Amino acid sequence: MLLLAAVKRQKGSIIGIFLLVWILSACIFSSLTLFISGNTYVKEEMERLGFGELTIWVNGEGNALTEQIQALPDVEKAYAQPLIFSGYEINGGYSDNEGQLIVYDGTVDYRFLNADGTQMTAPEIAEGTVYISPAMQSGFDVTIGDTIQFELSRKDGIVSLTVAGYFADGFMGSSMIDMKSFLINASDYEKMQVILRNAKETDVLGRNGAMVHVFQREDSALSILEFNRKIQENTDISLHTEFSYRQKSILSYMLLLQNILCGFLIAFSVVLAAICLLVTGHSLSSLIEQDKKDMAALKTIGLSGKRIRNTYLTAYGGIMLTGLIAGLFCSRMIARTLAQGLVSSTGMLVFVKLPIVPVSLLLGLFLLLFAAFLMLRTRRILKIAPVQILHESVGGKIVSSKLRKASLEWDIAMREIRSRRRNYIALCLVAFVLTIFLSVVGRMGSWLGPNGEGLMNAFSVADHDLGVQPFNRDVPMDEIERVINWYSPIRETYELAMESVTVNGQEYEANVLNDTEWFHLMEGELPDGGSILITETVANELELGLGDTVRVAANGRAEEYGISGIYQCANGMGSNIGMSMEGYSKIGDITGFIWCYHYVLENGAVRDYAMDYLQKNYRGIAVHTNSWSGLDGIVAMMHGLIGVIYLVSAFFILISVALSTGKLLTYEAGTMAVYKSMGLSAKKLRRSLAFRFLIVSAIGTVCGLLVSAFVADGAVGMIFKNFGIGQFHSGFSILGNILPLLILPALFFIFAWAFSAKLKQVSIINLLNENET
Amino acid sequence: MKKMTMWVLTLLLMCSVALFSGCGGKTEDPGEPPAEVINPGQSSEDTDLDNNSSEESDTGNADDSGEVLENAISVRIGRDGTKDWNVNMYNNAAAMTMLNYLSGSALLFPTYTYDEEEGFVAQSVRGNYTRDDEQEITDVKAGELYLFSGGQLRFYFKDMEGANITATPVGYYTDVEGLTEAVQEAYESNLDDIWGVDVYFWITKTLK
Repeated sequence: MLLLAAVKRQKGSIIGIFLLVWILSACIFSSLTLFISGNTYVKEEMERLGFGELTIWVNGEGNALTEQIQALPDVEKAYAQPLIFSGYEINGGYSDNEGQLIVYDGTVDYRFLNADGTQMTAPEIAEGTVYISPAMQSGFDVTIGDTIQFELSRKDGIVSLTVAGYFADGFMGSSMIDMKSFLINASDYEKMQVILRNAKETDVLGRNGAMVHVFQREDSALSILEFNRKIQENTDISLHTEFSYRQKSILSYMLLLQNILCGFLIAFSVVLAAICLLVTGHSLSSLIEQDKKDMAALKTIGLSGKRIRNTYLTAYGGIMLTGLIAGLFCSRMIARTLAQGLVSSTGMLVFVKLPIVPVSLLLGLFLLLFAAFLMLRTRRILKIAPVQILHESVGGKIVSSKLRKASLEWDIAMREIRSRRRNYIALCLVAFVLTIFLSVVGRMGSWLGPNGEGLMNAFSVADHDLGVQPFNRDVPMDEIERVINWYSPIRETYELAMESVTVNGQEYEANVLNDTEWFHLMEGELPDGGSILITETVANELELGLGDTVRVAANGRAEEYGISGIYQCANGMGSNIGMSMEGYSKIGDITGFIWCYHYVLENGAVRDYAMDYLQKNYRGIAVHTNSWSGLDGIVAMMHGLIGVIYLVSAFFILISVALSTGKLLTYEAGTMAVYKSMGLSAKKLRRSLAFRFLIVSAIGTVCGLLVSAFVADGAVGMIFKNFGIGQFHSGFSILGNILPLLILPALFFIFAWAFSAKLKQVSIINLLNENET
Repeated sequence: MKKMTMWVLTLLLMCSVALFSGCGGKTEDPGEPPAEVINPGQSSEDTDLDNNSSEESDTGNADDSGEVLENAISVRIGRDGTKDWNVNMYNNAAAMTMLNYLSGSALLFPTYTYDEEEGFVAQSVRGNYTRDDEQEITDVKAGELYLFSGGQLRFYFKDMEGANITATPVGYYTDVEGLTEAVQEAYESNLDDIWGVDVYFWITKTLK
């Protein structure tokens, strides 16, 4: 009975708290479900498709190498999956990277997909057709029926295949991986082999290769790094390696976008949880304050404090539990929708399954947290003494302050805040917490830039707008530079080579620059002929630091180098090193066609037009911008995520303000009626009330901004470190530094003004009537 | 009235999100470059100004040609070579472009062409080179460096009378005593090189 009455009176609060907890629950459970399902599913897919602990992409057929690897004591098994490396063109756009063409003969059980990502029965691949990863849709705007031209030889060596459908590529399906797999018919594969065999050395563009999948013995004591080192040191694999990846690395690539999304949603959920507790706590305190008299009366007639407390605990605990359960029910559907939206980035539709154990644990954790919180906040009920409270007047600290006619609304607001400070602490904290988080998100958005410039620079070795790599002497580089210069004057130019090397036996990509000033140096000094740079990832993996000496090997040669500095390049999840041209010349041939000419343009916005022109009109070159096929997807998702976070934050402010205004209006009905009777209009009173929210939220926002100035970069940096981005500096940004300061207090003000419409009905007559009843 | 309030709130929510979202516009397509950019021989009156300015800067040192940058680089011949040979470079565009590729650290430069009869070691080099300083040379002396039109850099280690070459002189060794023997020794000691290189050179820029 008591419970029903409490629920009935607190209908508004209960709905508000239910909505907050529901959003929190939906947000955290869906992101957790997607995170766990994605990681489990893609890992299972990789294992099902035969990815070893380590897979090495090699030139040539790879059978001899496989035998060498198989003979090593720590190797369980190794097998080669043959393929053809070939450049390709889709809808007039050339790929920056080669594709790998694989025959589909049923040996490997690939999953074929419909256009929406759902699974279909495995088809027979007809001659002249090709199956692609759905992630290519976003990179090349390719659909079923389009033609892909594979360039195997300069003379009569272009093979055109029609896209017949999609398949889930467990190794390279993600839009974060530029190399893509293509499943083709055995007879087309054979035709391509004939072209490769018959092409002159000067004309041949494609080449045979293989993926060598290596599995480690279960009883092997070697770590995966040591295992890889052993293979590199004891076989000829380094002479044929294009690149190699551990299962964990490919998994990180495949799920990069999903993990970024989940990471931010989980971080946001923590903020939402804090806000939920703040708002609930505030609402509960106000309610207890408001119901003090009733409670005292109930105690006088014999009801125990424990029983009254239980009524409140049941009402609030029940609604929070309902919100949690309701959010949990929605979470699978939300996770499925997100997984569906991520098909074009992960390249496969993740099978979403609610992870029972983690979800139950988290649910239990939330229940414990909420229960402990409610117990803490309702302690006051036990202390309320019967009878004497009935004579206490409702009100806070008596504050005497001057009211000026010119600023009456403002002065009233200040007086109310000062007299009932406790009522506004929660709102101030909500603004504070939200400001910190929104500032972090805003700084990240500014760093990201409208086209993903922040990510481009973090993932690239050195800043540039356009890169052109010639593959033969016939390429007219002087003419190409004139063309680029026509699109935009070239401001700077330098050259980059990306070559595979081993560092202390571990395979990495070496970024070699002819002008080392372009490296993103974080610590130490630029490298010279006797030293190299490493990323933080490499430093952690190999336990290296500045001044250490390492043995770098490539092309059958090895040299000792000192480590002169730490630099930033998130390419390959940070698994790379930086070398000077002089340093690399000791172990690699610098006269080959390994150099990519990088151009920094006066007007970088025209780079895509210049790239399109060069790709269409020149053969024997690879042209790229400082972007990659998956970048647009990441940027769109991040901008979308930022939008959603702002929207949800605004909604949270709305509910917080609604709950607080409701409580304040009930609490201050008498005061308001008195103000009205003194001639203050409802409009002025509403403005005065809104001013209180403005002042309180502005204090919270300013404090939040001050704190975020110290912690925001560090917090984002910690998140980004997991993706190989070693350093994050947002600097000053309107989105991160100014907008929260303006928008948050403005929202508090406007929402408070909107919810105080009830003041229009308040009059001294109502008050008298209320008191009589 | 309640409906009105709800509309205002919805609008505010939308505005708050819209305020935070950036709006980006796509740059206008500048079209395709005219023929005179592709082939400057067909230049017309309205040749692109940016392009002209770039070419001017490329050949900006042409007025200075003939001057010599003394001891511009130091060279050791052979992968295990220990003796430093000083090389003076001409102050022309080709030599300056090459110097831009070098630094104070020694660069191991492989050459894949060794011609005992013609008396030179050669290798194609990267970079865009003008032919403005190209000359017809009848007799070539040991220690001279020339850049040919295809980007081939030749180092003559023998005096070659009647060589009759058309190339851009880029520099010369200041001391040629024992140079021929040093190159020949380096070649012979490198016959089983795993990359098939004929002669290696360690090149260090000494010009400040």
